[in-house]
Amino acid sequence: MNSIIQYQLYLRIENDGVFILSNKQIYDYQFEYNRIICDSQILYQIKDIIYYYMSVLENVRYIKIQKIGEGAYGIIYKAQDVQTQEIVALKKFKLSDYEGVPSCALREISILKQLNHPNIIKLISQIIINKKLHLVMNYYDKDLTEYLKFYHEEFHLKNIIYKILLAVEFIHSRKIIHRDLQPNNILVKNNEPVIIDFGLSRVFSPNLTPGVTQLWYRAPELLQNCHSYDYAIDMWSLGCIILEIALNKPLFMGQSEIHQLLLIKNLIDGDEWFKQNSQFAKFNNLFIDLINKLLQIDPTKRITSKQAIQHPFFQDQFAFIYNNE
Amino acid sequence: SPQKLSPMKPKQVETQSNELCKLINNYSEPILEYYLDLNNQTPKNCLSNHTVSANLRAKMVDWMVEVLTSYKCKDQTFFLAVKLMDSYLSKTSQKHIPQDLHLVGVTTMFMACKFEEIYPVKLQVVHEKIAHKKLTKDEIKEKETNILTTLDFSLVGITILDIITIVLSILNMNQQLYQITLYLS
Repeated sequence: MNSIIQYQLYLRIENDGVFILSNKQIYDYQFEYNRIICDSQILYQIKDIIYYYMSVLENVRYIKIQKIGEGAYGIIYKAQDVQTQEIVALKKFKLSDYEGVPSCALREISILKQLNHPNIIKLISQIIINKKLHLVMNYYDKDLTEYLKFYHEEFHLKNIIYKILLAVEFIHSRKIIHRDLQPNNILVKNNEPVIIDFGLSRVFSPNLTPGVTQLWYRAPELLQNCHSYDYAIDMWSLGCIILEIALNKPLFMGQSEIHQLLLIKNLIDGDEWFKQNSQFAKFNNLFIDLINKLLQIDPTKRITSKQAIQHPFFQDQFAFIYNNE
Repeated sequence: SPQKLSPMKPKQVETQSNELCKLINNYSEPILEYYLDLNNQTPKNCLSNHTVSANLRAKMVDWMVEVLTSYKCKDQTFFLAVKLMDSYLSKTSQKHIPQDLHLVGVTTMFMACKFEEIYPVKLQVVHEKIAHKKLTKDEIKEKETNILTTLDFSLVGITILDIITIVLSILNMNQQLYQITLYLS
């Protein structure tokens, strides 16, 4: 069967001369001006012409290719840099009429500016077009959840866990709490993890709001509505993520805050909880010890990111997640 | 800095610093090292390019304390607002006259609130109650964008409050000293 995929190609010329171009398959109806309908081959040719045309214009830097995500804060696009042909991610914030630049955008940009680390997403630039704030960041196509569907090599998994911990240690040493660590916010490229989405992060201070982090990765003190928490909430999320990497499924899948608390209390009962559970029997002792120290109900007993990267599990290069036998 | 701060509620400061000292301890050393790094970049002579006098700046700072305490903002918000104002004034290429300072002060307070507070003061309130309708919302929003581009969006930075808290918690000093140094700064 030889079906020609048809695309609708739409161009938009914004007031200040910035072009935004995107293509979508034809069944996705969205009406924009200057709509051109063509098949993929023609699209390819037109694309070249448009790219050339745009590279001549000074203001044009990025062409939107497709939408990859949407949230309360705004929309994320995959886009291409006209000058370097590099694929980037564009995060668009709506500047609200009432409050100016939204506080999550203020925090995210200024925090990202401080964090220059190989395992943390790099903010290339930020531009304001038509009262809309765009963040330009490196593009990665896989997040940790998708990565785990295809790759299970223990050597790489251990490396990923270690690199995530390094990045978090770096964040904490800058007095910043991420507050939204979850597999969807960890992207993977060439077996190297990158932490993204600092929309909920903030500089540490006493008295914070407890409604942060996705429910499955939320620390027990947050579930109990505690207002003065600290870096330990990130460590709990990491504990959940690391066990998820090992078990290849999310650890606590609560439907509500109460349900989530119940699931946690059911699993972690006493100091020897991991011994009673058969699904942990295949794990290396050092790995279990690390998990146990991360998943402490009491935040003051939970280990810090600094202690975690010095944990014997990472010192022993032959210790992997699973037992060797 | 020479200006006088109006007294803060001692009780509030005490509880805050107690928690801070406790929570910050684990990471205080790398944070302090990092701050010392940043400190080298802090602006000097923020008023040299403008016709704003040091006295007027001090008045502005005083007024900020008054406004921010009356809206029950954190200490950190105040210190951030002052820092934003100073670094904006030292980095901007525009020449500012005394009349401009009001807008800059109001906008930096608004931004600091959004950055630090859980429930920031609304723009409507800033416009009506703080600026007494002398500044329009569009002016404030425009200034905000202006400040952000001038500072290249780097809001996170060292304020004197951070240094005091960390140094004192490392030295394990008592609460009274915390309040006194806070007052003097």
